[in-house]
Amino acid sequence: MRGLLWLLIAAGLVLSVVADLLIPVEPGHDASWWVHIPGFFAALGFFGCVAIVYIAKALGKWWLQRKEDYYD
Amino acid sequence: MISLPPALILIAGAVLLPLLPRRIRSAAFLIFPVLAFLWLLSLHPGDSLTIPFLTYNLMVTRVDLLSLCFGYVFVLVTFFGGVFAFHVKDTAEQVATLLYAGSALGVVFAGDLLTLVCFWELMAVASVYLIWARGTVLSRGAGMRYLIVHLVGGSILLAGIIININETGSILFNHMDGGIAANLILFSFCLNAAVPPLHAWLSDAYPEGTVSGSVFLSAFTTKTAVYVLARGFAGWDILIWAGVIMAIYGVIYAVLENDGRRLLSYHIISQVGYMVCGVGIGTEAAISGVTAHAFAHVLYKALLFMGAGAVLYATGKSKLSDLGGLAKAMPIVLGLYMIGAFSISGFPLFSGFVSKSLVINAAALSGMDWVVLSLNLAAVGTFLHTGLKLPYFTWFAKKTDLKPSRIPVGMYVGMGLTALACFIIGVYPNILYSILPYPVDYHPYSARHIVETMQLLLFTGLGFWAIVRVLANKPVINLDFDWFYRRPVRLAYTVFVAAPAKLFGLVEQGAFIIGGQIEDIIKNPVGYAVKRMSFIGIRRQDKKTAIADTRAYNPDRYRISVETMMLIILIVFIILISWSMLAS
Repeated sequence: MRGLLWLLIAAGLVLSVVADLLIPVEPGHDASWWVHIPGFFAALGFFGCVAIVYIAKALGKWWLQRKEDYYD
Repeated sequence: MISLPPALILIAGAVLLPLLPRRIRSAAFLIFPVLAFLWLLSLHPGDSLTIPFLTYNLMVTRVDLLSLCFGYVFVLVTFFGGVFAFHVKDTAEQVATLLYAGSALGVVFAGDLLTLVCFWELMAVASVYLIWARGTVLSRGAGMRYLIVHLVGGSILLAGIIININETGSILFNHMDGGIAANLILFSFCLNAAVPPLHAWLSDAYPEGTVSGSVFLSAFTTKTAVYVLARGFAGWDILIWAGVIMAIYGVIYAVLENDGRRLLSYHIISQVGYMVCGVGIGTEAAISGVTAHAFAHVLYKALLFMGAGAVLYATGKSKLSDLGGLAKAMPIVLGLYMIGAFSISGFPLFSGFVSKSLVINAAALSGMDWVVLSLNLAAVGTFLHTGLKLPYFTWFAKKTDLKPSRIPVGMYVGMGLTALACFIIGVYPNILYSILPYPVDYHPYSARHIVETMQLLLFTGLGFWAIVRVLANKPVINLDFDWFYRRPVRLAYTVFVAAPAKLFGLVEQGAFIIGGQIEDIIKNPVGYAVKRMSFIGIRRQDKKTAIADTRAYNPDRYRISVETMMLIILIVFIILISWSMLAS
């Protein structure tokens, strides 16, 4: 069951990138510059995720995080 | 036909509910949103009701497509939340909920600014009880801060309204063009929409509400604010970037947040950011997108709060560092929560997919590339936290020895109904699109949109899997803008409470000392004088007699003895005799 789930997710990852190459960009409607870069949204997803986490963690470590009794 | 305000039905419910037998109150609660829904169905765009009041004509009801759409979702979530809260026995909480929902409806259908501000204040007062009803020390403090912030916001709104009436002579609530009045009103609307830096009340108070109270809190206050912004401030450019900042801000804080329900609260800020941004864009497509997203958001966010609330109900814990390994014990809650998570993340087949993309598409149509990219980045963060982090650390991650108690059937049914609504909207978007204020020509299920979304979300999942160890939170809190009114409280306490109290104490002590002295003198002037004069040796006293002397005056105690008198008389007699003998 768990193996199947991982297999499906892996297949989804590959399929979403392959499909990106196969499906032509619709002219006009949502033609921003990035739609011409294959796998742009995959990169945004992966690096966006990592960037958000590390930026937030750095902010937390150096500035924002305090002990739970800070306001008591 | 007279278009009475739909708010009246829920407010009447709040009045009637305590009069009914306790056993049927939870069931009776559900009747009022149903009646309100039927009432809404009987209203038509263009209906209105104007009542003369003093020198003004109050437009207590104004119906158009925008207000109807918000009205529908408010009564829907009141019903679903009512089912979820079926087990609640606290009548005051039920009454507060109906009053809160009713006043939210009142704001949405208010045609003039005076009616609006009345319901606006009622909303703040009713909702604070849902926080206080939790009954913890934390909830008492958070509720008080929530109330103060909202009453300040309400006062600023009233100030703006009064200036506006003076300037324009009209009390009608329509699109605003600028000036001091409009800016004051915008400020208070932004406060309720939780636009940073005016947002901290939300993430401070919502997690401290009761299990079901937070479900309602997540639905009404911010969404009425989105409604009034859309009605009054569509196309104000400042809101575009305010919205983008909100969307990212909530996501950043959600990384750091350890409390599950506070994490969800930060994601309210993030999601309302999409709506505020859409209001700023202000085109017809954008306003329709905002309305659709608000509609979908109310439902999926309620579902997420129900899920986290059910875990809190069963285990008594909401901090992710205390939770884990509950998947075997609470699989249904996990499943239903995940429908909410897929909806907010915008997975195909779920409601967020068809509503969020309307806002992003509106930005793309207006050529705002950076806005589109930022909102997509916020979507990454949304799935990362609500879809991955929260469920992973709640239901999986580590084994704990938590023994979750059984949760009431009503909770399952409430979650199930809400999840069903999220799914139906996702699969049949035209149901939602057909009630939007402006016609929508958008087909979310294009191959390109599905592929882009799946790429974005699946690779976010890959990123999460790669750095999941970094994400585990320690039990800490994070500074936010509430620092500015929570931290200086100590200084304010010292200056305005402790120092005056100490001064009063000193004065009081002084008064007591003086009063005591005067009392001693009046009670027994002779005794007092004797005690005071003992230092010149007229009469030496030990402490015991000194105390005795402060008793009430008794002439016998100070009467000079007969022997002494005789002696004095004798001495005087001898002196006189001697004097007269010497003189003769």
